[in-house]
Amino acid sequence: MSDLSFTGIVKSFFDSYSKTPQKLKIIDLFLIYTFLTGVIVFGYCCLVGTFPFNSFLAAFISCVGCFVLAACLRIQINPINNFNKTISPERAFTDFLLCNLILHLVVFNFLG
Amino acid sequence: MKKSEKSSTATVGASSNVQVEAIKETPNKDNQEFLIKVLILSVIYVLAFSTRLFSVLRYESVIHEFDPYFNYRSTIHLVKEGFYSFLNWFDERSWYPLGRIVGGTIYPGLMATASVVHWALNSLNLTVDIRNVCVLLSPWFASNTAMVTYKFAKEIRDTQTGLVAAAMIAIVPGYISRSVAGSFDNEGIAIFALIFTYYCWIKAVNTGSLMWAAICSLAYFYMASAWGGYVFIINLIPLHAFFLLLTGRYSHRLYIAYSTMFVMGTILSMQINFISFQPVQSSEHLAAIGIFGLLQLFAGLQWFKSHLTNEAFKKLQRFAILSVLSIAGAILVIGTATGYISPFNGRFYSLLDPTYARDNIPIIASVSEHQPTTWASYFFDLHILVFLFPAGLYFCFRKLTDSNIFLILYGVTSIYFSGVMVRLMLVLAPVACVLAAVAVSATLTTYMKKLKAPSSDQNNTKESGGVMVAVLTVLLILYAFHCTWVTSEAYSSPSIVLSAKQGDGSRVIFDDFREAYRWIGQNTADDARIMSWWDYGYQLSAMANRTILVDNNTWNNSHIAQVGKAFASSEEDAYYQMKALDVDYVLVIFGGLTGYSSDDINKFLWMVRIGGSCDPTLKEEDYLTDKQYRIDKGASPTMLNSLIYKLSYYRFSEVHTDYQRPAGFDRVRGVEIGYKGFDLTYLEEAFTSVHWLVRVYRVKDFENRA
Amino acid sequence: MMMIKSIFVSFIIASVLLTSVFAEVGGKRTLVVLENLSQKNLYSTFFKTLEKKGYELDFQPATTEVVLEKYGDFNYDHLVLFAPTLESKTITSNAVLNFIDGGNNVLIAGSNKISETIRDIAQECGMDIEEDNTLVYDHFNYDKSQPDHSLLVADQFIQDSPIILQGLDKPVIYKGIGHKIRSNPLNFAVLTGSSTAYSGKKTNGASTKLMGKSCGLVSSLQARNNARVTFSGSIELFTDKSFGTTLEKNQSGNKEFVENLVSWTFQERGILRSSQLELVKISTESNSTVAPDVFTIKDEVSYSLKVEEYDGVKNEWVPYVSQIQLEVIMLDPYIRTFIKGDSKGIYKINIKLPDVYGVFTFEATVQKPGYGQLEHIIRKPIVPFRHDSYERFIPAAFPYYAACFSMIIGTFIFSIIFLFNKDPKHIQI
Repeated sequence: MSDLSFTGIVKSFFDSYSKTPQKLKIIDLFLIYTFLTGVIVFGYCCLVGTFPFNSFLAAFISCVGCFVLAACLRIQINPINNFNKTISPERAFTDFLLCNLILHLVVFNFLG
Repeated sequence: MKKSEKSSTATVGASSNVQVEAIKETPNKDNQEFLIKVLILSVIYVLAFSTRLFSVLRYESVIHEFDPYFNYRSTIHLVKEGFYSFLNWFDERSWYPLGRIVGGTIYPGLMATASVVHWALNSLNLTVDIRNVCVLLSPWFASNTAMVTYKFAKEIRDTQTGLVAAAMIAIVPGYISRSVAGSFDNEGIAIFALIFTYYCWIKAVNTGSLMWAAICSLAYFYMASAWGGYVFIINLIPLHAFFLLLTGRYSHRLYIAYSTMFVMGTILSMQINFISFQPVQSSEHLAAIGIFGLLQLFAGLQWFKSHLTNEAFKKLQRFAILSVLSIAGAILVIGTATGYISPFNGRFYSLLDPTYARDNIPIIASVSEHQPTTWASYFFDLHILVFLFPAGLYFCFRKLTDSNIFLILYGVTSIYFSGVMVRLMLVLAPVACVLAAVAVSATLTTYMKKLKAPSSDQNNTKESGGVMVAVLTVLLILYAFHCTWVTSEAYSSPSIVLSAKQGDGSRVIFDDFREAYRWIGQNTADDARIMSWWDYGYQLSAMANRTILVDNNTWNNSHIAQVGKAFASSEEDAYYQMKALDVDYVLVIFGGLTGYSSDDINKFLWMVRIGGSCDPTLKEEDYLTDKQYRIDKGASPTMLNSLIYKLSYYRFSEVHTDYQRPAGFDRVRGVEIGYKGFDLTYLEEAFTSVHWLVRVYRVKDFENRA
Repeated sequence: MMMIKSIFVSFIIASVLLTSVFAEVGGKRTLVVLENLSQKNLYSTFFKTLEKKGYELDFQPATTEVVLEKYGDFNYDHLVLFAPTLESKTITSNAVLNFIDGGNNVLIAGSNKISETIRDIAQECGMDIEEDNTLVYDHFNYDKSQPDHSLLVADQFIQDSPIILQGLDKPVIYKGIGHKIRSNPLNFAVLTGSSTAYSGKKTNGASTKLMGKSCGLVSSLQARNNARVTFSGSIELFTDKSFGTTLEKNQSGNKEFVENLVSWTFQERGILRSSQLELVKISTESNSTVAPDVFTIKDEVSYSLKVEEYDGVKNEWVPYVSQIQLEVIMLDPYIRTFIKGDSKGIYKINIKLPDVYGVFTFEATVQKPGYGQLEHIIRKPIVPFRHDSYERFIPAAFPYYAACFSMIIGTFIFSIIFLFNKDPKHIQI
C-alpha cells in the first residue's frame, strides 16, 4: 500500500501523526504559532522596509528563538529519543524556561 | 580501569575477605586521586600567574606597549564616569579635530572585566589601584584559562589529558607573549573566553542539554564583547556541525546544541555596539546562518521520516533538498549582487589570502604583527608542541568521536591562520597544547601500563616502557625550561622602558618615553595639540593627557596620510599644513644616539607610502637614491630637507656618539648624517629627553608682520 | 594716619598701573627724526596739528643716535621718520622692527633717494621700494607746475576703510618714489597711482616695470599685534607748501588726507577688541539657556560677542557697530554667516550646529582693511547623540513590539497548558 501520490502521502502522514502524545501536540501547536508570527513579522518588514532594523531583528529572532527552543523541548521530551537517562522531562522544561528568560531579556534590550 | 578489574576478579572469587578489602580500597584511591588532581591544578594555577610576572619584578608594575594604554585609559574612564557614560563616550582629545566615538568602536569586554574586578576588590575594602588591576588582569585570566583548558580536554578525552593540557598551556610561550603582566590587551581575556566557549559547546554537544547550550551562547557573548576574533568561533562551530553532518553523526544533541547556541548567540552578540548588525549582514557570518538552515532541514526531514514510509520519504527528500538549495542559492546571489550582503572585510580577506594586504592595504601590511610566521617563530613559541601536534591528531583520528572531530578541525584551521599572521599564533597555542596533551597522555598511558604490567610478560616491553616514559619526561622538562627562558628573555619587556647591557655588564635603563610624556603633561597648555606618528598616539593620550592627531586605532587613513605628508614635506610646507591642523607641538622618536632601531627615521618610508596613498605627488622614489634609503651625504635632497630629517637631526652635529667616529654619526643607520648644522625657522626645540630618544618641538605662531 | 598714607600710596600705584595698561593704546609720546632740525619749518602745519591733538613731539636730527628702548621699555609710542637718508648709525632697522613688534606705530616718508636702513625696514613690512633716482610719473594727472609730470594729482584712495574717513574726495599732490606692495592680508595700499601712472628713472624717464594701480604711493601694514606702519614715497606730501597748493579751483586735499592718515597710523581708530563671549545652548522646552562644556549635533545655540572700537579722540572704547563674520570650522568651514551688531556693539545670532561631530572652532573675524585684528576663537567639541537621545517608541515598529509581547504571552500560556495538561489517552510521557 505504498500510495505515492501527494494526497496519499499527506493522508498517511496525518494518520501516523495522530498517534503522537498530546503533550507533543501542544508543543506542535505552539511551534506553528511561532512560525506564523515569524512569517508575519518578516512579511511586514518586506512591506515597510527595514527602518528600525534593530526592532525587526529583535522581533524576528524572538520568533525564531521561541520556535527553536520549543523544538528542542519537543525533542527532549519525546519518549522515542533516549534522553530519559540523562535529562529528565522536568529538567528539560526548566532548561526551556531558563533559555526563554535569557532570550526574551535580550530581545527586550534590543527592541528599543 | 586497573583497580576495577581487580575488584571484579576479587568478587568472582568466593572469599569475602578479599571482597571487603577490595571495596575498602576503592574510596581511598579515589580520594588520593582527587587530592593529587587538586594539588596539580593549584600548582598550575599559581604557576601560570607567576611565570608572567617577570617584568613587574624587573622594572615595575607598568602597562606595556601601545594598545594597552588605550585600554587602560578607557578603563579609567569607565571606572570614573560610569557605564552609560562609557558607552556614549566621544573622545575629543584624539584624532583632532574629528574626534572618535569610542563607545561604538571598541570591544568593551576587557574594560568591563577590569572595572568589575576593581569594583569587587574595592567593595571588599581591598583598595587596589586601577592600574594594578589592569596590569595583573591578564596573568590572573591566564590561570583561569589553564583551568578551563583542563575541563575542555577532560571533556574531550579524560582527566589525564586535561591535566597535561592545563600544565602545558600555563607556560606555552605563544600564549604568554600576549598575556604577560602589563599587557592589558583584549587577547588576555579573549583566549579564556574562547576556550570556555568551546568547552561549553563540547559539553552541549555531548549532553544535548539546553542549559549547556545557553551557557555556551552566554560565553560566546562574552567572547564577542572581548575580541574581534569571535568570528573564529562563529565559523568553527558551524564547520564542526557541518562535518558531523557529513560524517553521518547527526544526532538530536547536535541539533539542540547548535540551534540554541546560534539563535541566542547571534542576538546576544548584536548587543555590542561595535558589532551591531554584522551577524546578519556580513559574509563572515553566512556560514553560521547556512548551517542553521541546513540543520533545521535535517531535523525536519528526520521528523517526517519517522511518520512516512521509505519510498514516500525519498520522494519528499529529493523535492525538499532541491527547493531549499535553489532558494538558498537565489538568496545568496541576490544578496551579494545587490550589495545587501557586504563582501568580505579587508581584514578578513587578508586572512584568507596572505598577499592581499601587502598589495592593497599598506596600513595593515605595515604592522609588524601582521607579517607571515616563520618556522623559527613556530618552534620558538611552541617548542615540543610542534611535533606533538600531529601525534595528537593521529590519536584523535584513531578514535573518532564528536568532540575529537571538533579538536581536529580546530587544530587544522588554527595552523592555517597562524601561518598567515604572527599575531594569530595566539589562537594556535591552546589547541596545540590540547592536541599535544592528547599525544602525551595517550603515550604515557600506553607505556605506563607496560611498566605496571606483571613481570611475567616479555622483558622488552618493560624496558621500552621505561625508555619512552623517560624520553617523554626529559622532553617535558626541556619544554618547561625553554618556556621559562623565552618568557624571561623575549616576552617580558615593557617596551616603554628599555634596557641595555653596557660593556662592563651593568644594565642601563632608558626611561625616555615616560620622561618625555611627563614633561609634555606638565609643561604644555591643557588643550595643546601634539602631532606624532600614529604609533605613539595611545601612549601620548594616556600618559601625557594631551590632544593628539592620530593614534593606533588607524580608523581614518586620510588623516594619517596628512600627518605622513607633513613629515615628508619641507619645513615651510609642513608649517602651513600643521597650522591648518592647529598643531602646537610635534613629537619625534630618534634612535640615532642610543642605537634604538624602531625610531621614526626607520619608519619614514611607511609615512611616505601611507601619505602617498592619498596624495599622488608624494612619491617614494624621491626619497631614495638608487633605490636605497640613505640619510648620509648621498641622500636625496628631498630627504635631507624633509621635516622628519630636520627634527630628528637638529643639533645632532654637535654630538659625538662614538670616539672614533665624526660628530653626527647615526648609530642605527651606521653613517654620518648628510646635512649638518642647520637651523629651524618655523619650529623651535621644546624638549629632548636624556638619551635623545624623544624630541618635542613647538610650532611657532605666525610672524607679526608676515 | 599711617593707614591713610598707605591707602594714598596704593591708590597712586594703582592709577599708575592702570594708565600703563592703557598706555598700550593711546600713548602720545612721539619721536620725530628729521634730516636736520632746520627742516622743522617745512612741516610746521603738520606738527602743529599733531601737537594740538595732544601728541608730545620730540625732535631729533639724523646725526644723533636715537634710543628707542631702554631696559625693555619703549621710550616712545610713535615714531615719525622724515629722514629718507637715515643711516644705521642713527638707528638700526632691527631696532625699528623691534619697536613695531612691541606694538608701536611708525610713519616713514621717503624721497627719490632712500637709504638701505629705510629700504630694509620697508621690505620687512612688505613694501618693496623702487631703486634710487626713480619717481612716479603720470602724463594725464599731473600738476602743471612741474614740466616733467612728476608732480602727481592722485585720487585713488582706499575705499570703505577707517583710514580715510568719509567724504574725502579731494585729490592730493604727490611727488616721490613708488613701491610695490606684497599681496598679504596684512598689507594694503592707501593711495595708489592711477592706471596711467608709472615709475620711471629720473634721468631719462624710462619706465621700470612698476605701473598703474600696482604702483603704491602710500601704503600701510597692520601687524598682528595691531602695530601700524605707514610708508609714503613722498615727503613733500607733508609739507606746508603742498597743503596750500590750489588745484584747478579747490585746495589740494593734502591737509585732510595727512590728518586722516596720521591719526589712523597712530591708532586713534580702527583698533577693535572683543569681550563678553556667550555661547549657550537654547533649550526648547524650558525656554532657558544652558552653557554646557560640550554641544550635541543639531543643537540650537546662541552666539553672542561684544565688539568695541577704540576712539583715540575721546580716549575710550566705544561700540563697534557694523558686521562681523562668524565661521564654524572643522578643517573646512561648515557654517559661514555675517552678524549685524546692535547699537551697543553686541553681535548675537542663533545658529543650528551642523550634523557632523568633532571639535569645531567658532571664529569671529572682521575682514575690512584698516581695522585691527579681531580673531576671536573658541573651540568646542560637538558630540553625537547619546544612546537615549533617540526617539523612544517608533510608530513604524509597533508591530514588532506586538510580536515580541505575543511571543512572551504565548510562551507563558503554552507553559501553563503544558504543565497542567492531563493526557486523555494516558500515553505515558
